Amino acid sequence: MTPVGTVAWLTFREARRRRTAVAALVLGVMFLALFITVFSFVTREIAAEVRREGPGAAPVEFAYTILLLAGFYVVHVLAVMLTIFSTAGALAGEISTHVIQTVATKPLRRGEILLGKWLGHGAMLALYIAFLGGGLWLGVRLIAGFAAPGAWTALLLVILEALVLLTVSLILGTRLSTVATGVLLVLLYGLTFAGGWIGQIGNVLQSPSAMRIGQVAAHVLPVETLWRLAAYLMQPPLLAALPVSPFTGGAPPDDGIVGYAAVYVLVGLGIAMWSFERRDL
Amino acid sequence: MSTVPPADAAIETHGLRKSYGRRAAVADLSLRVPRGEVFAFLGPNGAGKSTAVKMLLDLVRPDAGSALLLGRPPSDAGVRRRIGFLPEHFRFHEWLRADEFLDLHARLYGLDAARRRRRIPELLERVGLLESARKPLDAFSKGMLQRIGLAQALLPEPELLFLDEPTSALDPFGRILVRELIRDLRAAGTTVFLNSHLLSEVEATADRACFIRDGVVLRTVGLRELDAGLVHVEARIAGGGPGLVDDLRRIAPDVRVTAPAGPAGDVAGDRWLELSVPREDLLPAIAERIVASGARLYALTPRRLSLEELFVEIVGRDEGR
Repeated sequence: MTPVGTVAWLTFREARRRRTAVAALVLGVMFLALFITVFSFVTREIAAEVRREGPGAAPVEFAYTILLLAGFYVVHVLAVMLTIFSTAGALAGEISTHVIQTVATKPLRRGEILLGKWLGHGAMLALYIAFLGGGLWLGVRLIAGFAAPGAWTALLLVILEALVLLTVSLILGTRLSTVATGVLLVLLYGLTFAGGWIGQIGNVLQSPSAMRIGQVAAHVLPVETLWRLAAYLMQPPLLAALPVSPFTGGAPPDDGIVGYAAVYVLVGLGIAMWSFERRDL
Repeated sequence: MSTVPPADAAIETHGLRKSYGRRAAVADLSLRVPRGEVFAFLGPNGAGKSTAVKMLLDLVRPDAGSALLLGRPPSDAGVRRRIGFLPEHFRFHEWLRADEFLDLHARLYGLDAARRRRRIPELLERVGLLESARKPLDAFSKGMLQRIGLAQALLPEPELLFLDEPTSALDPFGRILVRELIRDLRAAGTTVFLNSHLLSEVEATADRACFIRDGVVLRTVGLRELDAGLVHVEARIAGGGPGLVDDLRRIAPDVRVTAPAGPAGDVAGDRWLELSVPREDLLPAIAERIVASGARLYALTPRRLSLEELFVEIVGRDEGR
């Protein structure tokens, strides 16, 4: 195994040993069970209504999509929180406890340590998001026989959100403590979240300055915007008519944001490596 | 049978400097440690020992100066494969078991599976932890952690081993173990850089000791030779020309003259000379010069200084650091 692979594998082993993996899986299963229970109740009610009133009585697909979208929204929020809390200490913690010293004196570059951590945490987060989102999708599919359009693309976008946050977390972690990294990430996310909403409202009110704030927020930390694009891809046509909701906005987000986020991650990784190479341990 | 050692030193530094803010942790460090030597780095707390070691291992980037390990820069991956390091703060991934921990570090060293399988139990046994191989490190005592850290440093059969305060958490058994280990390594030709303030340990194992303070090398003394650089000489003389002290300073720079002794019966005009010489075989030369100066020599007493006395003499008084 390459040094990068060894470091990446170590993050998986850590998650297993510290039982965070088990805890996350148990909670994930509970969340899926809750969703599936709610979903089967709603499906049963809709089916009863269709039986009573005849087909076309209820907007069946609209209801399914909205429920799945709500479920995905939870996955998005969990992905953001989980990324912040599980990765803030990935580098900062090992630097402050000096654990890094025996690793960084081995025949590997510091950049390789960082890349290994990024890959390990990234893969773990991606798997977890796929497990939650895939579980939701499968539940809807099995219970209602409904295959939501755009769900898989949306899931990939949520994974990309996590990777963006993970990258910023590692940049901060090369210089700050675990707590400072976590706090700064939460604040940064909160600010760009608010900025995104201001942009949304600006869209409705046609206020250029508010729209610009939204633009800036989307570029400072392209997390919330990725979610809006994901939601836009999944939303039923009826919902698109609503001006503002947690799931969507009047105007579809520019899908150039995906390319931007990808470049953001690559450049961010470069910055993190550069910063880590240059610090004293 | 003797092999010619490679021309390059195990460690060679020129003018290494590192400041934190305005304070220079290491002001100007120039060292040469030949291969196969056990070299001790001594100094009071805050003298810059750990910073120096970290610079040698590329953990801390120097502001100025250069360092070569085994003839290559410390960042060179090829060199790092041949170096072992036990840090002062021996904190590890404590959720790993002891054998997994060694396996991880062996992988990072790039040891192949066959070598890992051989080396890991071998080292666990060497540091007395074979029975705890499957215990997680978070169940380890501090002493056990230091032992496993030592095993980790020995994984690649290093040519150069850095030990930063290797016995700070060890009981007497552990200390004996480290001492024996250093001796074995020395016999096998490994260069050991020992950072310690446990002087007895240094005395027992090191070939040379380098005294540092405020980030500057004060003096390097040999500890192995019989007349190892620790001879303090007291001479009682009477008379002698004014040039005597200057003459003696050519042999020992730190000649001190003390006032005539008080008790009655002393020869009038007598005085005490105190000086330290690096080797015992300089004693006859001192006697000759005293006599040649026309002084009468009543006593010439060599006294071997303990490393502790030497430490105080070289490093100076405690300033409560």
